[in-house]
Amino acid sequence: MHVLKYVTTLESEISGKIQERFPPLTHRNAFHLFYEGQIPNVSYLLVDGFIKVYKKKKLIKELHKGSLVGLFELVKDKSARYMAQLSPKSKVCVLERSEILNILKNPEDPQHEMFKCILEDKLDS
Amino acid sequence: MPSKKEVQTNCLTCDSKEKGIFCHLQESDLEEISANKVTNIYKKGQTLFFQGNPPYGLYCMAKGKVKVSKIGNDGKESIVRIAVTGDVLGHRSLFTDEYYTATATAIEDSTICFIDKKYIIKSMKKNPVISFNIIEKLSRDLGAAEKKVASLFQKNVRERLAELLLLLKESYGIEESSGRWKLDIKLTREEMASMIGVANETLIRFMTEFKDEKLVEQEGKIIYIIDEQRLLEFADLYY
Repeated sequence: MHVLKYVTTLESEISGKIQERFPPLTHRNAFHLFYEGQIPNVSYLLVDGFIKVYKKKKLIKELHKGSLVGLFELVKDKSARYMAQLSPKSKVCVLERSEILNILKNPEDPQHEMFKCILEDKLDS
Repeated sequence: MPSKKEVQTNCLTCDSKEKGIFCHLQESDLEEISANKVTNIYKKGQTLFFQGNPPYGLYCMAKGKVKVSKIGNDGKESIVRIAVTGDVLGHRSLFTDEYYTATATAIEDSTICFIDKKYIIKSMKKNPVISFNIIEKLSRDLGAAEKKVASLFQKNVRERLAELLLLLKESYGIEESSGRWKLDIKLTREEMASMIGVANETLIRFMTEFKDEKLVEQEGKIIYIIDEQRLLEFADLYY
């Protein structure tokens, strides 16, 4: 299976909707968002800066604005197949597990369909 | 790396249940917390959170040891505390909305649960007992911080080192049949020096003195306390 199978690049309209609900936070310092083999604590939408992706300590890709990482793993309790490191001064939206589970449980939620589609797209691919 | 299924994930059967902030909750509440948390194993040297970054939630120590340290402008690290089974981390930044003022790093392979900020705030409103338990943890942290400041100002290096060894014994001491206490924690000299606010060389000099006086023994990185009574006299502690 491809290492980055569960990384999504969102269109700016969808990214904007997520930012309205999960306001972006600036990270002053470089930080490991999660290590290879871990379940991400939260999911991250990159708004500014970049995320370095490592597999077995080897840099395999740099992700840019609009990248959504860790969502599938967080919701499905799956270990990430890579390590993600955020570069200093990057901005990310932090998508909490409890909030995502609430959105997915509640069909009345305005973002229910959007998140369902993002996740189903990954399941089908 | 074990998968989540292999990692201890249920709050009901967690080894640290009786020591943590959720110990007074009913089974149904614990089940709900289990469903909303993420459990991971952090290997030695891996970071939970980093100084200067925003907090996302609360970390509960199910097993292991984590050092919480601050990096000064000169790049020097000073250890604020060592968290063990049942402790929580990140709770102070959670309620002040301040960015993390310290970095948390596993000093041995540790099983740690993460609960996001929104869920923990919601749980605190629903179960005031969680709030009380967090307040208790915060009060203890404040007490320990006050004690540390007083120690740095009022005690000399010999007294501070004796105090540190006794504190480590309280948390990580294992009594051996010979009567000596093994400190079940591997700290580097730099880490120990930073905990009592001295230079590395000073710590080495005083540790050598303690060994010469048969107060402690050392085998590799493991320290053994031989004469607790005399350390208590040096440390000027009132147990």
